[in-house]
Amino acid sequence: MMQKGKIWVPAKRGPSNGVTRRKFIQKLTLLLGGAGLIKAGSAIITGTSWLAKKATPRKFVWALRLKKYPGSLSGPAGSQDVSKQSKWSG
Amino acid sequence: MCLIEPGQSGECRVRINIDGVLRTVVYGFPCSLNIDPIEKKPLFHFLPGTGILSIATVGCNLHCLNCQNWEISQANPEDSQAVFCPPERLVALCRESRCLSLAYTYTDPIIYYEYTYDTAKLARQEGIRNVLVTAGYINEEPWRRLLEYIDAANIDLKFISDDLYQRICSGTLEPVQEALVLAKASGILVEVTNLIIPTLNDKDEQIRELSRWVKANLGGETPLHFSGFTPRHKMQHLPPTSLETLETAREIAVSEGLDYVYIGNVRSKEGENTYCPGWDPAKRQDCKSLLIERKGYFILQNRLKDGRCPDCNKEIYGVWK
Repeated sequence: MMQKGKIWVPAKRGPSNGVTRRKFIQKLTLLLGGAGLIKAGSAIITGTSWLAKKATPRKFVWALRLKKYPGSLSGPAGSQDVSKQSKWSG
Repeated sequence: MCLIEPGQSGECRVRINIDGVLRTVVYGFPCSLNIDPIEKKPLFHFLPGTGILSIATVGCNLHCLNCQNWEISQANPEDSQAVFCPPERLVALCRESRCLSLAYTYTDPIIYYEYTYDTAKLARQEGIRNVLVTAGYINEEPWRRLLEYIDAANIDLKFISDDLYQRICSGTLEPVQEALVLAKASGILVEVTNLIIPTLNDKDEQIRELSRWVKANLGGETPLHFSGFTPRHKMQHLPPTSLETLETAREIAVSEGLDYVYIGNVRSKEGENTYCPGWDPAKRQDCKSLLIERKGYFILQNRLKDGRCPDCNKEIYGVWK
């Protein structure tokens, strides 16, 4: 209840600095929308770089051995004379 | 870059894509297994006068028109003959043969990388030294990993021109230069071979440029071998390299500041010997003493004392024991 002799001053409503509720909500939407864009952008970049990495041939791949030789075998090592000098260069 | 389709092999003929998994068909299957004089690699500054157990499998990642070993380097594994020799057996064979070192050579150890790597690792544990004879056409990461177990390498610097690397070898120059620099920086003993092919890379300016590059990037102490070409494979129309061309090349390389320059594949009076590059203060002149006298792959005399010149005491680049 208002006291006699005192002037009633209405309380400030809504956001300060002269911003109306509508403007405040507009700003908030923009801000949230911007963050969403950043999130979407970074997701796209991450995805693209992952795909690029996947698609780029690796420079170092350790090959697994194949147990069977596709050509002919002339017996186990040591069964021939290794003491002879090779005919190949190097 | 070599993209291998499913069921197909790559450029080197020895790696196959089986259901998306890369397989090497030559692991443990050398096509050549012999004991050579180490001078044949050629390595002149690494355990001179010793025998070295040398292996190769078929295949190569380069396709040099002048390849001296094209019968194995350009062969398909299915058309070739090999022996079964896994790393453990190879190291045991090296011990039985009383060889101090093992060479991965003839074709290119980069092709049988996994076999080389596993054997070299095992050999190191057994106190056997590992030697690569390679064209050095490899990426940095696998090269670094392999070098951890390598003691010495002779690396080809075939041309000092990217165009010639592309036209003659189906390769490029830069990776080879990078491999050379990395090998030297890793601390292993490095010797360089340049095969001089008449009309292709025998001009004085080409020799000078190559020598300058070696001196600037690998150091003047790096041994450089100029090898004579013999008409082979797809270059039978060119003549063999003359002794005169090789001697001129040697003179140019020495004048550019390289300490140890050799001539190979052709008999030469001085081009096979090692001379001291030091300064003799007593005589107040360049030492130039004969340190190792060679004839072909034979050592006629070795005057080194603990890796030093017996006259001026200069330390000679190399691994001598």
